[in-house]
Amino acid sequence: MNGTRRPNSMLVELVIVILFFAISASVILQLFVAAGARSAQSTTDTAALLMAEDFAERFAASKLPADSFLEADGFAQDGDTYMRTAEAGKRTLTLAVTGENEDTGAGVLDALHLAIHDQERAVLTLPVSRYLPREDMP
Amino acid sequence: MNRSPQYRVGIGASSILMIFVVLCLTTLGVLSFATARANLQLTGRRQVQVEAYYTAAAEAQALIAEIDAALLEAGEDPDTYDAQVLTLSDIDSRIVVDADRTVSLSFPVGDSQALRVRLAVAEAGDTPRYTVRTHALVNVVDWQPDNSMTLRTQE
Repeated sequence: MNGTRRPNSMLVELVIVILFFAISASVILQLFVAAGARSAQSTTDTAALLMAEDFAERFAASKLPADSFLEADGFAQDGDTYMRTAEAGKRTLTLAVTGENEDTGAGVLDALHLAIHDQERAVLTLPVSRYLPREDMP
Repeated sequence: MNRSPQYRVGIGASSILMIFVVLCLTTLGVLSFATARANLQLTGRRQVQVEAYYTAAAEAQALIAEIDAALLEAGEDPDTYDAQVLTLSDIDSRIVVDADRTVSLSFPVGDSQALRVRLAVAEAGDTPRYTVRTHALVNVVDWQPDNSMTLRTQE
């Protein structure tokens, strides 16, 4: 009698354990998915930040006119906006540059506006300005 | 009759194993979520700081352009030029002109930092009309050292 009751109770316990484990695993899996998504977003944002800083510093150091610099940097003109894409891990970021230049007589002030998008999400916008005195122009 | 020993899994062993596995997975999940969240927050803070720095740098470039235009306008007559240099602070309240022809600009970057730009203005008729001496991010809040603990005793 004892021999038949033991396998039955073990079976019931196993079923309960499997059920409880399945519920717990589904909740924990969601936690891992959320952590993965946040981690991926952090990686993309960091890459976008580095790209933006790199762009701003190279532009500030360059003596080329803004449009020549952008074309040399791989940007394609689309109306008033210059655009190019860049890979950040598995994501493709879109860099869009708009801006204007002002001739002050003594030199030219280029005031650009860099926006980086990850598909539909705006990751970063950065004002990038450079004043180039006329004597320093190529 | 020598019977080989039988190893039976007792009732409750699977429950204990499951509880252990679920606890391990929960701990790992919570830790990885907390790390990812902290990384994202850190990236956000860095993003805000970078945006503030480049906004200040853009303002600095715009003011430098105005200063250079004013210096060019002043012409090559030393008296007119010197008078113009002294009135550069009229362009913007953030411009400070020192007696030694040094022009200082300061732009806040966040709560505790500022972008300090110092220009050395040349003599009348010289080119370039100014030289950037300093373009640096500085702390504007005094750092308070924590001396409450003795870390090392000098012998």
